[in-house]
Amino acid sequence: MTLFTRQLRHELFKLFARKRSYIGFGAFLVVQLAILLLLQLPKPKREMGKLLEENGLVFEQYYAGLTLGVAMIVFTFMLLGALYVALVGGDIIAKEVEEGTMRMILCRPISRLRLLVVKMIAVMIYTFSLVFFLGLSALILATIYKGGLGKLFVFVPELQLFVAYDTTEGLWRYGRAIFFLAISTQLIAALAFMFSCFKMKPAAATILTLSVFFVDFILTNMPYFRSIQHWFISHHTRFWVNTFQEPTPWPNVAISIAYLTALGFTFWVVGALRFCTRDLKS
Amino acid sequence: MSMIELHGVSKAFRRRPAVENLSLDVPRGSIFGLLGHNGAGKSTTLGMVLGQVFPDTGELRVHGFDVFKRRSEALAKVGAIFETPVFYDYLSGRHNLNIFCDYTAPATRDRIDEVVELVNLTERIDHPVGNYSHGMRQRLALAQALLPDPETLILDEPSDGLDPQGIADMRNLVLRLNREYGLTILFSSHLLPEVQQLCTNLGVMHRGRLVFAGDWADAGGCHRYFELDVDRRDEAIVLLQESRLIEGIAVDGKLTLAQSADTAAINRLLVERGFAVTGIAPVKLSLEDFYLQLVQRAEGNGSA
Repeated sequence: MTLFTRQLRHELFKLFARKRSYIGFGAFLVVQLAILLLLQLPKPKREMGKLLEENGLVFEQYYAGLTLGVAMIVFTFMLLGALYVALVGGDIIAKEVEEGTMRMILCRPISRLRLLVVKMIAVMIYTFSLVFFLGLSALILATIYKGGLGKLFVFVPELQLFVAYDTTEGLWRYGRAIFFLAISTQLIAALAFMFSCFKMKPAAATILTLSVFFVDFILTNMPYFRSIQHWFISHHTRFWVNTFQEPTPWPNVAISIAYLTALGFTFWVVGALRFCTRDLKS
Repeated sequence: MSMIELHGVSKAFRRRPAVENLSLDVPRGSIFGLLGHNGAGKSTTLGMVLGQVFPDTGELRVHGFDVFKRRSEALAKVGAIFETPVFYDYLSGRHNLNIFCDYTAPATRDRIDEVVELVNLTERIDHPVGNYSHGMRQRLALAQALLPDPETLILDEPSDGLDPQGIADMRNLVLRLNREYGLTILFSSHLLPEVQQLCTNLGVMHRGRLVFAGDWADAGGCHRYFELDVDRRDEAIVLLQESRLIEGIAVDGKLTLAQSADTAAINRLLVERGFAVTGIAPVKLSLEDFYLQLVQRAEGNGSA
């Protein structure tokens, strides 16, 4: 095993051995269950049934695992996703500096840049696993509850998205969307990571990250800024929902991925520049 | 050969000087004690030696390599511990050691066992660090510092927070590492007895400045002190100062001999001038007196 893989393994072990890293997983499960139960209330069922039948779709076929899984992901991620990714990203450097373990690590002749690369990869892996867990658990819970996967129906009025797929195509689209959601979430991780490299408490890094995203989200949705919407982060982070479109708008997807990658890399470079030049002192 | 060299190093935090124009040599095989009040600049100095704090000016070399230009070579054979040893509490001592080693030089299980035995932590090494006492954490910190087989150990306030038994154990271990394993040790402390019992060389820092550096012979002999019992003491002191036989009054009223003077010449002069000398005796200053005198002098220079 190379030194790099050993270091990465330890970073992941440190991340996953901590109880607070699992708060996100546990909280997602609880919220998913709550949303699943809320979607069973008469009003949401009635409204969705009306929408489907008006478009010639059979309610029982679509109100099942896949459709409810997507609905659960959208609501759960809006409520908690950014928070938990920001929490872990904000902790990754700032927590070690605050507790003093960073000074212990840097007694060793490891370069700060290499350490940051290892830690960023660990955060990316954590983010991927959290999003995949979210996607898988939503699908499993909804499928168990409804007794099958059913067909997929996605309706997002703001994005003018109204699509219906059979089970096989729906499952493929569902898995692909989760993958793209994981990619889009990396930007939250990168921003939290950048703040974590500055001299601040871990909680401050998390709060700053969330603040940036909330402000950005509000600005993106203000009609006044519609003409420059494509410059905002939220405009691009929701590209994963667009991958449900038929045909898939690949040029737009590529633009969003390029935008998010460039911005994420910029955040990482800014964080690395700060961390590599700052004094570490008790 | 110097294992650690600092030349004209300065560092300020938000324009407040923490270390000023510090030059220091730590000879191979020595136990170099960096003594000073809290806030004297000791930890900042050690931080710079380890490449964790960037100096504003000056040059730092460890094992002949510039710490900031060739960090990996400079720190390859250096181990360090801090006043408050911190680990991942939710992991075992062994797992912690594995993590810290794998950042640069993975250690075999046998090597870990060997070092753990040296610091007397064998029985608890597989327990979570969260359950360790402060003394055990300090020994675990020493184990992680020793794992890369260092030639130089840097210890920042190693006895801070330890009970008397812990202090004695740490002291004996440090002495053993120096004598049996030939390690050069640079440590900081504000505890005078610890410095006195441990170090072969001494550096005293005060408000970011090095006010003394040398070995014990320098510390005891660079200023010669004596007690003088004489009638009309104030007049006698003025006379001795005018005659350039003393440099001044040291701690507790002891007098400091001038470079070329000796007590016989002083006695002769005083008797010739009609003073009744009832006692004149050379005194070896305790480290505390020596330290306080250095600080007093530095304060005098600073306010002048």
